[in-house]
Amino acid sequence: MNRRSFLPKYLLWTACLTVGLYLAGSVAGFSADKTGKKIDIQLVWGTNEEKSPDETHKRLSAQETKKLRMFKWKHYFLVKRATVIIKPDVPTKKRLSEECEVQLKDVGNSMLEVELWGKGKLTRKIKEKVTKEDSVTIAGDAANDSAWLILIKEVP
Amino acid sequence: MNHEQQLQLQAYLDGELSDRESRKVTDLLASNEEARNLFSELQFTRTALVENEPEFKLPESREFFWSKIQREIRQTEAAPVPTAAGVSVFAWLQRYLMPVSVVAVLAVIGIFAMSKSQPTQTAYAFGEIEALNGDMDSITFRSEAERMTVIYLYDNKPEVGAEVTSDSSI
Repeated sequence: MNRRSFLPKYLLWTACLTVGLYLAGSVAGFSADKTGKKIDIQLVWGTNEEKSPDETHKRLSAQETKKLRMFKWKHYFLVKRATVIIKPDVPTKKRLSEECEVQLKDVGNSMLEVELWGKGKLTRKIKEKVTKEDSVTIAGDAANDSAWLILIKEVP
Repeated sequence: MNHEQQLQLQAYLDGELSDRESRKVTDLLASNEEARNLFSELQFTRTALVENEPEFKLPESREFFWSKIQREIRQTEAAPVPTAAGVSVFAWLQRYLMPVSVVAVLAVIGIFAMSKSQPTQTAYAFGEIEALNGDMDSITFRSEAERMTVIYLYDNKPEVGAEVTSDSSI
């Protein structure tokens, strides 16, 4: 096979392969959107206390704690963890504690609408980008110079 | 017999000497046997070279040889340039249309890919926060290292620095 006839065929095959891969990726992405997104929610307590008074609280791993190094607290305990599957434009509510609830809604373009409910009242409505790489953390002051944190991220 | 005299002998043989120098060499040849022997040897070598030099002859006349070259040049100049009609449609497609279409397809894919990846290339744009509780404010910041957006809610009551009450917990 000489070079002159080989080159256009080679380019054609490369183009076909690229188009094929692109279409396959688009179909995969489309089907993932249709089946819904898996969202991981963690309610975390941040404190300087060595131990949590509640024995059911599990200490966050070093890797997870490292991600929260922008906060001033030294120790973080997992209060509750939940995974929800959300479908586009369908709100999904999840109770994290006796007083705290979150409602999640996929509003498209990788944006997640988070409604924060405290003591049965809607306190905040947040719209942020949440993907497998980008996460959102909602936090606030708690008693005795500690804090509560809600970590929201998409999981595969 | 020194080296200078040897060179003089060679020059004499080649006819490069003046009359005066030639006479000197003739005298040397008459008086010196060694010089005579060397001169004979040089003469013999010269004769051998001249007689045995290969002579190349063209198998044809000079005029005929050059006329052949001229004919070749004229034929090359007069050769017809391949016209478009001589090239098949498929060959034309293969040569021009296929590479162009491949480039076009790749350009379209590139544009799609760029449009999809645009949000990650630009600076992060914060989302929206709707406050529904007047007692609390919020600070939003982003950690690019962790790719995490943090929304921190805090009590906006005037007692800044006061101990946080249990009301602020949820």
